[in-house]
Amino acid sequence: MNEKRIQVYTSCSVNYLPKARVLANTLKQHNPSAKVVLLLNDIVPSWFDEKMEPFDEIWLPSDLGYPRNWIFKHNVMELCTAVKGRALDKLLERNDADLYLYLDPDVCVYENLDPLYGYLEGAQIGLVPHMLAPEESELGVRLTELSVLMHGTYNLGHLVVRPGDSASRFAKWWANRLDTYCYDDKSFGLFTDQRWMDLVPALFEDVKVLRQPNIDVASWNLATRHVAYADDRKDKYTVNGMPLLTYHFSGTGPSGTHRYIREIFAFDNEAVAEIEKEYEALIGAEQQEELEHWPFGYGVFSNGSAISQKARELYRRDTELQKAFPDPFFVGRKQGNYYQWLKENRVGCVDGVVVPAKLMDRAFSQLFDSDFYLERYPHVKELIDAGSFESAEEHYVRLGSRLLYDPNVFFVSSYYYEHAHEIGVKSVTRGRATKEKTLLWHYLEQGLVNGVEPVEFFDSAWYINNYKDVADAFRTRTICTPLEHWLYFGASENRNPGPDFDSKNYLRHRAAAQLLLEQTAGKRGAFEAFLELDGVVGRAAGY
Amino acid sequence: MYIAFNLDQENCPKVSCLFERNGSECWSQDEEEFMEKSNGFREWPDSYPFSSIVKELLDDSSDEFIVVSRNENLILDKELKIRLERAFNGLRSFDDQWVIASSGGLGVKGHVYCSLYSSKHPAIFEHFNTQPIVDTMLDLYVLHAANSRKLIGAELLGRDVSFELSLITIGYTKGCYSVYMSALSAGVYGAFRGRDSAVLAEELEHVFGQEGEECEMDTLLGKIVVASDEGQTGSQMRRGNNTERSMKLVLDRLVSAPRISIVTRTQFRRPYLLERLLTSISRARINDIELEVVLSTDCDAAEVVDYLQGLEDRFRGTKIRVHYNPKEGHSRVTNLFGGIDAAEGEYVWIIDDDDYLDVLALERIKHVFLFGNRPLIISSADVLKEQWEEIDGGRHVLAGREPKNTFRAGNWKRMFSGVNQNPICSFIMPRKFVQQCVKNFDFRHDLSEDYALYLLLLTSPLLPEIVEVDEVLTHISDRDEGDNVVNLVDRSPWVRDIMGYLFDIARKGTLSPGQASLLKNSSQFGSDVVCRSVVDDLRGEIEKKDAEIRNLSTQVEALRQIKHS
Repeated sequence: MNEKRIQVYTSCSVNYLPKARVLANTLKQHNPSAKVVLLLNDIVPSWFDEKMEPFDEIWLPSDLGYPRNWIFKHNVMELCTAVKGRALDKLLERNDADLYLYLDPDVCVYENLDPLYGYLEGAQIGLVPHMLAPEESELGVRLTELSVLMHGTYNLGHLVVRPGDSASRFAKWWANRLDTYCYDDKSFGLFTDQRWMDLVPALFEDVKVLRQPNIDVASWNLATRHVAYADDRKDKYTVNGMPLLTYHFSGTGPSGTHRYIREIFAFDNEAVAEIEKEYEALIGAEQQEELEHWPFGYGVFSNGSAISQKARELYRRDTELQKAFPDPFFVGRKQGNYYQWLKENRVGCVDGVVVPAKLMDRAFSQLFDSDFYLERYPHVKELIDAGSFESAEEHYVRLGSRLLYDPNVFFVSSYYYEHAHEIGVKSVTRGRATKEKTLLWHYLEQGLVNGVEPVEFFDSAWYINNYKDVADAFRTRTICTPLEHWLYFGASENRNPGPDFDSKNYLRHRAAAQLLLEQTAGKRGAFEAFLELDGVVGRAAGY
Repeated sequence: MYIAFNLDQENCPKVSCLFERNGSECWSQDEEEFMEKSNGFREWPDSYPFSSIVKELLDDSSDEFIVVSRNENLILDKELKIRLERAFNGLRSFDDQWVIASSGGLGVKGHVYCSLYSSKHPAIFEHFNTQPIVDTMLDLYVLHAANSRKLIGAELLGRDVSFELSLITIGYTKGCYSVYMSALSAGVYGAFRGRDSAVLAEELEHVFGQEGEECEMDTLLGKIVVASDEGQTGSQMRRGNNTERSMKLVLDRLVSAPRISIVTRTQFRRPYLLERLLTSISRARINDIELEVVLSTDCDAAEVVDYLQGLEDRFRGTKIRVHYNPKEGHSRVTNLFGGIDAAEGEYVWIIDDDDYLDVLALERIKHVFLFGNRPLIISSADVLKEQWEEIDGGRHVLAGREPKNTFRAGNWKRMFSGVNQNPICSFIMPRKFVQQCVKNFDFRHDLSEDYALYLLLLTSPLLPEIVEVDEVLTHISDRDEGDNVVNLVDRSPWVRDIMGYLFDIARKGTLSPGQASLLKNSSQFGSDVVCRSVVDDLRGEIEKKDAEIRNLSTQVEALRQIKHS
């Protein structure tokens, strides 16, 4: 059989460059004639020398026709996935390969990839499912199956395409959707480029679900695949008896997710541990340690201030803002830039609130509402009575935070966890459970300063800037956080939590809310009524 | 003022001294003895920048070492000269890549080392081993002249407060290390030499704040934030990271680690946990440390031979040996010491088959073995509450895991309270030292054998320096299943064995009177219930013996009567 002409492309920012290099190197080791295009979605660093890199071509977003204001709408993960559609379309138009593969930068190649062509069995679009068999443990259902439901059936770390009409139609459709809807917004049913793929088997002809277990082996499917050493050589591996082609090292790096999951699902498998170890050595040799924390070039305004997720969301949802500020990154000396507009109108999007280190313990205690916690989670009281925990707070620290229990009525843990992924919230779910490893502590330490709030509509910076008494109380350390004021005073006084919720207006138009407040004799406010009657993201009404 | 001179060229060739002193008119008898046979005296007034003096000295001489003291109260006597001579010999045994060797400093992991004795702040040093440092005390240190010449650039001139700290930091980035050496011990009549933290921060900013973002530097005065110049954000690598990485590279070069034998007691009754341990060992292994695993068992070899064959095939990255012990006496003790005796490594690490190694465990201890150091290592270990489910005809899956508690490395200091404070996996021990300590001791009980072992080690006159690694190196599995003795509610057998061991250790005389008294006074096993249980056991024994005596007495009496009749 003739060797297939394989065209691979991958997409990342500079901090993933070491992994992308390993992908290119290992691919070329097994498919020497394969070509690799890197989509580099970042400001190109001055030290970057294209000639020294193992890629055949490097494309920037501008090479695919994306302007700066489009880039601004996306965070790093969104951007790196949003460019994939147009890139595929552009590659297919060249029509110079037998097989086009998208592989995530953290994929490593272990064998010649020609068999993928056969796996398609004549189809043009090959989708790789996250899982091939049901999970067998409750932990597996929780960690894997529920997550797959949320993030999409197929893993877009792999996409196998053979040129043809269906493939071209698919690429154009995908590019079109990603141009406008490639966000991590699960409440809106979106998860970057990946959820779109759920529609593909229905929308296009010539689609094949690739069920071979030896591709895209990853932490989420380790439990249901048997990885072993090949008989002949220690550095070769098999998966369910087939030669391992590709392993997807999602979560390898600072988050430690891959190691954590492997210790659960492949705890007794040296071959998997060896694969992980070898890969860490490979990326280590490609500057992983130096580059893994490299700041995202499109993560800051031109004055160096960090761009918050809120600032991006606001911009992408408001076409007027897009018109007014065609280059939202730019911060000039004069008025009339997006940054300045945020400073004046949405201060929470640019200036975070900092809790001094010495006040952290107090701030934590003030925001942990034991009465609320015990009322909401009555079994905790039983555990305390049985002597398993000394207090509600101890339960929260040791267990509750990891189960996404809410520490007070205005702290929706699931909402916060979902929105704080860019500021390292996953780190609190690893290691020994201490106060410093709770979501509440993370909010105090990281969320506040980065403008990530624990409940929809609340905006600490806005709140502090709009209520002088709150600002004074914060300055004099009478309160440790704006949320503390909101929890104990502001909400019941029917103040507004942020620019997008008008308490008085809500009460005026929601009779049931008025009734509810009358029944509680003013102890609760409009926003609490709103939580109960209408719900917010992460907490349904009536819950 | 500062004075410099060539130290006794006969006994200390190519060594200069640069000392801050309070005038040079009148030397004491001791000082005269220190400076005997010295020559080439030079002086500089206080107002002269220290960094410039060092630069001049380096430029004007071809010395090998320059001994520096910036504390006028440093006691100079002939004993110091003898210690310096010894230190020079030690320094010559290093490779040529060091820059400062000091009598005190801040270690890489935050330990403070000091071999100076100050009459104002009396404290006795306890660190004998040479250690890498990131900051130095200014009272007494030695400069490697050739390396200093290379490293001291214009940016250090005039930076007299941060001079040494900057030199050490720059050294690491250029491949040179700095060390603490206990051989450089000396007395200080008065206080240690201090530094102004504000000036230090300002100087560091001048030296290091030219590029990159804000970073923190570890100093003997605490962490100091070095701010960046504006407009550099995102355009440079983080300087702090770079220094850390350079330091790691330099130190990695100096590791000369021993072979470690991981001794695992097992009955092969919970293979899924044993295989987790073996996987974790394989995953954690690093090039610098050679490992072997000794599975120490008193199982019948025929029962496990097939299983072991399969194990070898699945664990190709780990050298595994099985040591069979006789099935007699106390299983825990037999497998423990049988495994240690069978081990070939310079160190032994006891990790039972249901526990496992942290992925970074070996990476975290390798720097303990710098400069050939061979201490007793005590590490932290955490306990994980685990639920395991059996599925599919015997396959086990981890259904739940949550952290329970952590045994900290420093707990060993409370070991003389009558209760064991560290699990068996927290000690990483020189094997010969262990064998020496236990060779004349009869481990005639089974439970609490780890505690007895620890007490023997910690009271041994052969005890090497103890290094605490306060990072979790091992994870202990706590399960509700019946095969987990740690969970047994009835602790009285343990307490009984502890008492037996303590009695034996006290009788053996390895405990000092103070230690024995401490144990006696603070024993935790004095609760009524436990005591009653122990006393009941003893009473039962006594009754048995009484009955035997009565029986024998009756027989004796009967024999006597026969004889008389």
